[in-house]
Amino acid sequence: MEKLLKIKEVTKAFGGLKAVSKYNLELGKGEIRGIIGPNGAGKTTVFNLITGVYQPDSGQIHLDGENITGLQPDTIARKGIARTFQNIRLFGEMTVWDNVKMAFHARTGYNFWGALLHSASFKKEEKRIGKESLEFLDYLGLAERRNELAKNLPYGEQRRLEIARALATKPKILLLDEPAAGMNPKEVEDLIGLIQKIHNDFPLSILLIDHQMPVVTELCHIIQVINFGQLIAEGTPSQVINNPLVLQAYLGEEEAIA
Amino acid sequence: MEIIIQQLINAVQLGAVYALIALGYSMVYGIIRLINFAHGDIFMVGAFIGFLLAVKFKLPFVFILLLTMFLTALLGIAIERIAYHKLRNAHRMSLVITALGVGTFLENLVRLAVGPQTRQIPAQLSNNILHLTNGIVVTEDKLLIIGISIMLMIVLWLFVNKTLIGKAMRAVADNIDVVPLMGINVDMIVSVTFAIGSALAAAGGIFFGQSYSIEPYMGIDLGWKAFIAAVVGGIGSIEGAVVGSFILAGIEVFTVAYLSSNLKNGIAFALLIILLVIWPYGIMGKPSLKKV
Repeated sequence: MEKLLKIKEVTKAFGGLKAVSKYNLELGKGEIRGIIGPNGAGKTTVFNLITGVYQPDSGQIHLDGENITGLQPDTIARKGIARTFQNIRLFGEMTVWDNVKMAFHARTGYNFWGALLHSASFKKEEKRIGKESLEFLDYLGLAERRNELAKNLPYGEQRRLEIARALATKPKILLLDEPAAGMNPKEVEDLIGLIQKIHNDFPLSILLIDHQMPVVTELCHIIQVINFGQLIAEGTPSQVINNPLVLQAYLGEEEAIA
Repeated sequence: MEIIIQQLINAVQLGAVYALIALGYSMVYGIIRLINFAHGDIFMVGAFIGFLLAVKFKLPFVFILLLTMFLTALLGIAIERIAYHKLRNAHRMSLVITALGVGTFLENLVRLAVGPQTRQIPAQLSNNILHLTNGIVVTEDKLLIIGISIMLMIVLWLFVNKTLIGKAMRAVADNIDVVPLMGINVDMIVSVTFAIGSALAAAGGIFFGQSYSIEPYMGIDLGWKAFIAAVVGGIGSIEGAVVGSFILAGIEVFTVAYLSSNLKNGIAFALLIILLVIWPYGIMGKPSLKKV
């Protein structure tokens, strides 16, 4: 079967430093994959390459059989790739509801005159967007918060809002960059449940980066380990955990025992 | 009392012109943090396009206004695409210097095309005198200019606050890096912003030309005034640009009426400095958080 996302031999250097080198990844439909690796290993660079923030120096990226290498970030987003950030990035000065409404923009088109003249079809469209975006907020338990400014939400809710906004773009692939960053064990447990629920309820594949082992081992079917921009291991959680190379490069003695 | 109301009407008319220019400064700054010092000259070009349409083509006023706004909007988009686009991630100082260059270019281009002499846009609106109440008179064109200006500002406010494109503009102002991930083309939003700002300045140019003479360097003085009005109101804020403009116009008009026209700029700017000492971010501005 054709893989949903295929990254082939991608290299990206900054100055003399190769952040990612001849990197490969395949993500099938409905799969959850994890990428782990020490700080500075190139994990976020991979996300930036997939979403078009960076252009690869060489190699190709294919989505659903289509070459998306070198496309602009907004085009790639419209083709069905959404992401969240390690340091949450919301529209802080906008309401929770408006944050999610923004995600509908791409599929609404830019009917300038319709907007200016407040035409009937335009109003109907705005109403539909209002309703649908509220459903996404409701799904993530944020409906009551809809009229608050995003920056005023507590940390955990900001994370959920970022996920709601990503889901509202109706992605084929959801990229989660350290979704458990800054969470306590209880919150991590809830997050794992939430990601599983999303995976069951939406027709999408998930690629996630995380430092916290429970997140990747409980969620991911296949885990990749990268270090210095290169793939050093790939396999099921148990395979990867027991790989001596991985233990050496990343996990360290204590974490391997735990 | 009559004199005060009479002066108030003058202040509102002048304030409306300032506001139409100040809005462009404020909106462009809001989304890409650029003080577009060419904006006053875009206003000037708008006035001259209106002049040409009125003198050469003798179009009715509504068409002059709409066509001038449209053509000036295209000019605004072109300036952004040609001069500013590549510099979006450059140091802000490079952008500001480029903007000053674009302004100087426009001034000289227009001077080359039409000459340096001052001109008058032929009166397009009836200047019949209306007697509002005892002793208060106002010409119809003044009322119309004030009315259309306020209407344009209301449409703009609705557009920015109630529509998705308006929301996208606010999103760009809020966090430009995330906007593309929503599938929104940032360049498109920036173009729309320049188009709207330039179109409003063009309307201001035509209204200004109904009461005062126009010349290629008129944008410098008016541009500075509008810029200062935008800063006092809180640059980046639409409401602030309007408030700042009416305050500045009010100070100017009343200084001329009750003190001396020589003191106009001196007193206006002294009071504006005081306002900025009280509200360093402008009356309706917010301290901007520096992104790490």
